[in-house]
Amino acid sequence: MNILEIRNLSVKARTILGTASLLSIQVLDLGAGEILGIVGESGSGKSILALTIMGLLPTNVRATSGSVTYRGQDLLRSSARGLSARIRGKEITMIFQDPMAALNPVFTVRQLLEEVIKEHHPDYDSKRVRGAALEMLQLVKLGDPEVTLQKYPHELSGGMRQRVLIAMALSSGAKLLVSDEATRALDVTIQAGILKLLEDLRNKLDLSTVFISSNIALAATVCERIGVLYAGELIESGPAREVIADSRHPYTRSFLASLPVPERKGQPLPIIAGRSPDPLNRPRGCSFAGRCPIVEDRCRAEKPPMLQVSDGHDVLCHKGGTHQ
Amino acid sequence: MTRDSGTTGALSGDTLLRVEGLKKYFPVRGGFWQRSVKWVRAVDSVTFNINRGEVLGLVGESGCGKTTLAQMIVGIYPPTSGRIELDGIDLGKSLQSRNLKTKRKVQIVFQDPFWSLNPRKMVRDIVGEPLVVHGVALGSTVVRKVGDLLEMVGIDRARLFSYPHEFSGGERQRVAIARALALNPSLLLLDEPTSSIDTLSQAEILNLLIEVRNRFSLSYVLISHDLSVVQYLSDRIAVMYLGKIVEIGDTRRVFRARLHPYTEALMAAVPMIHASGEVSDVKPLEGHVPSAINPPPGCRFEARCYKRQDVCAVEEPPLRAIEDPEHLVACHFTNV
Amino acid sequence: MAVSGDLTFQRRAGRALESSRTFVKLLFRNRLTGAAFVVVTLLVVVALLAPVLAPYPDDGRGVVNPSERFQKPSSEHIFGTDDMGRDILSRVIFGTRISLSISLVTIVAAMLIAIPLGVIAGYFGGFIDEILMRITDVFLSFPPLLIAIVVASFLGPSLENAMIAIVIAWWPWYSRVIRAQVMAAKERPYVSAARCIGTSDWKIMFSHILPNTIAPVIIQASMDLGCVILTAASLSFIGLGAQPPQPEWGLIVSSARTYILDAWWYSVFPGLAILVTVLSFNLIGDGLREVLDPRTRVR
Repeated sequence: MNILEIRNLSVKARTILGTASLLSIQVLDLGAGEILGIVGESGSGKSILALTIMGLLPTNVRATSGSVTYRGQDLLRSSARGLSARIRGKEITMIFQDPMAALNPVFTVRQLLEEVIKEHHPDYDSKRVRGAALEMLQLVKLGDPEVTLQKYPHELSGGMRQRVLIAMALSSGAKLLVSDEATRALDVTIQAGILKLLEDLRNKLDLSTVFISSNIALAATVCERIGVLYAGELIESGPAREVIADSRHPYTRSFLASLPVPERKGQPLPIIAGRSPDPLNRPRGCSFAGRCPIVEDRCRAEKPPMLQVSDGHDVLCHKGGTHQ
Repeated sequence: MTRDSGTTGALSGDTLLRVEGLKKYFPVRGGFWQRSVKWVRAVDSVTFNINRGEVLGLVGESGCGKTTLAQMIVGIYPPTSGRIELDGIDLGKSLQSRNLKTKRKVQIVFQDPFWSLNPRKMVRDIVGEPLVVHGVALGSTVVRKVGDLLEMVGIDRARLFSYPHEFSGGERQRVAIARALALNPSLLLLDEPTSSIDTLSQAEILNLLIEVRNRFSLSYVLISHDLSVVQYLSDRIAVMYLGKIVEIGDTRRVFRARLHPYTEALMAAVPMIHASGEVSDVKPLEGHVPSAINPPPGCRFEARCYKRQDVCAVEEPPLRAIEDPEHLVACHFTNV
Repeated sequence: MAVSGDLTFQRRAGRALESSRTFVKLLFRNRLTGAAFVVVTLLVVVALLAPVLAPYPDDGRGVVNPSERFQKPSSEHIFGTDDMGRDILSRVIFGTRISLSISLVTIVAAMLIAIPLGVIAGYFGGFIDEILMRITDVFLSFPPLLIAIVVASFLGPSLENAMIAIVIAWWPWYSRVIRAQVMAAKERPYVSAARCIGTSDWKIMFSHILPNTIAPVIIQASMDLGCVILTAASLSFIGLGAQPPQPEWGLIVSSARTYILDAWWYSVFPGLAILVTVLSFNLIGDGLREVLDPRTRVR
């Protein structure tokens, strides 16, 4: 069963320079207990996706059409305000690149955690709340939970803060975690620990994660499935191994070919000229047409369809599925 | 200390930079009178050489001292003690003590392409500034030379009169490279040159850096937390932990052998997609970097090391050659 | 929040401000600011063309006309006449010259003193900074009007001395603002890059740092233009500023004080002139802040 289903989503922004098209996703599903990677460069719409799911879009940015369905309920049309408030921030939570932004610096970890637990379990007495807080810290594998509970967020390292945030998310009963570049500021050794934690929580608690990252290798190590965003469009999605070993969109292929991996040492990296199109002025046809090595006339004239390569592997390309 | 190891790194070849016993201790002020009571040993007795035309990659977790080391070489921070020699000439302590001629030989490219260029200046003035300051060019020759530099880094000379905000992150980084190259330096410090830009721009920057290096036989000190970038660009690699070099040697060799347990852990944590499409799994390293204020007396990696034995807590392992005279490791247990 | 990447178009919208046309467009998008700009432009025109616009230029210059004392506002004297029989409209029009030049000259002078000191203190830090900032602290611990009163009474009552007094009371505020900005800006990589190149400290301070830090001072100054007019008027009101027969607004209000019940027009019209001018400058300052601030906050 899918915990999150996105259909024909379109997110637009109104600015003084005109209307900008920020995100357009035809189909994207996240199964329960799945880690879905969303990769793309800056400006590709990754963070907009996170904010759309969380309902945190800036005031001049709106989802103009489509649906984001969480367990059968459309989050965009949650005219019942209560629904959105009940789900977002509780069942769906988000972790950011900068965990300090979400941790109130005047409270200790204990206070932060206990507050969330009390709200989620009003029936708990203080002893039980305390026990639950400790349990949560153990769950996110924070060493020395007793000591950590007494600390203030600024006394913790970046990796520990992310773990505290995840513990808070889990305390509020999170089923879906949106991670927006949450490991970007961390050292690789610490980053690897957070990845392992996400895998662990998926296995133990069936936690689903939308793992947003600009590093495709990072997403590939932790995610079952990957979606690639380019210029605000989901251009390819499918099982992680398949998208990487048998990628069908020319952008995905160029992107992978440009990674400085050990095998390419000493050779120049292939590059794609040009820039991704202006969000204020998207091209009529395929948004990658201007840089695509296998472009045809129709690519410039009409929007490409979403083609199925294999079960669960889709590509937004006129020549989808064919290698050049 | 590593006195017995002699010259660390390249034994042969044309030595460009020699760093010897370099230390940087930052005072931690405390107490009522704000007297310094403790010292953060950001860089603690670092010794290495770089040959002309060679790229040395510096890797390690944040706080290992790699950025401080680079900033001492450029002269932004004066070292607490130690020597930095370029072409056999002592560079002196800080920028103030260096003359213009020395300054131009060592240049730096910063991580953040948004703040490394003055937002209120045109590219002509940004790239032209070093030429004017050093009296290399005047008047209309500045424009011509800046145009040449821009073209060399792959930016249309028609954009001479553009402001930084009109460029993308990758392009701004190229402008920064053009500015660094304007004075024909012999050593370029690259402080996380690609970590704020996208993968596709990164590929372009890496290609450019290799091309420029080959053309001018420049030497680089490359600092990056991204090991794939470091292995791609570097001839040699130095792994730092808590202010010290724990392993240094030929990049391929270090990547293959991973003699120091820290090197091993660092490399195991990096997610990498191989050309075959194979994705390597990652392995976290438990524990945290100990405080640099009171580093452990023995091996600094001892608390997190899976090979640790009693001796590690007491005796600091010297940086010594293993197998190959140019591959140095600071570990008591380097059973290959 | 980490949305920087996707919201680059918003940053671009910010950058569009670099082009002056968009800047003006944005400034005028706020109607009040636009109106204030129109008023200030009119004031400048009035000041420049005072001898042409004033119905009785000689009255403006202070020639007395005893036969026409205390005339009510009429078609002949729109604002009425004062205790010396002078046309108040003409006096107010000539007063525009004084008020605008006082505010402009004092603010520019205060900035000329404050900016170099603030930049030097912020850039070099340490001992120099300590000394300069303790000096400003002394000034900042008193209300500026009080300092101006003390200085003006020490120097003796005259318009020029009032201006000097205002400058002395005002500059430490700007020094503080610019110093804080410089301290933040000097840590930026482009400053380090300039140092590595070998650029001199002076050039770094005034060519790299200053242009990037001056915006808040400009905003502050534009808001202070009104404040200075008010202070100058206050000083004149208590007899420490402009001296009769100068048509300074504060001075006119001061002389009208005695007749406030018999000749309301005598104090009301110059008072309104002060009100409108100060309000306009404040609105412009607010508008500038709105337009400039988000851009300075953009990474």
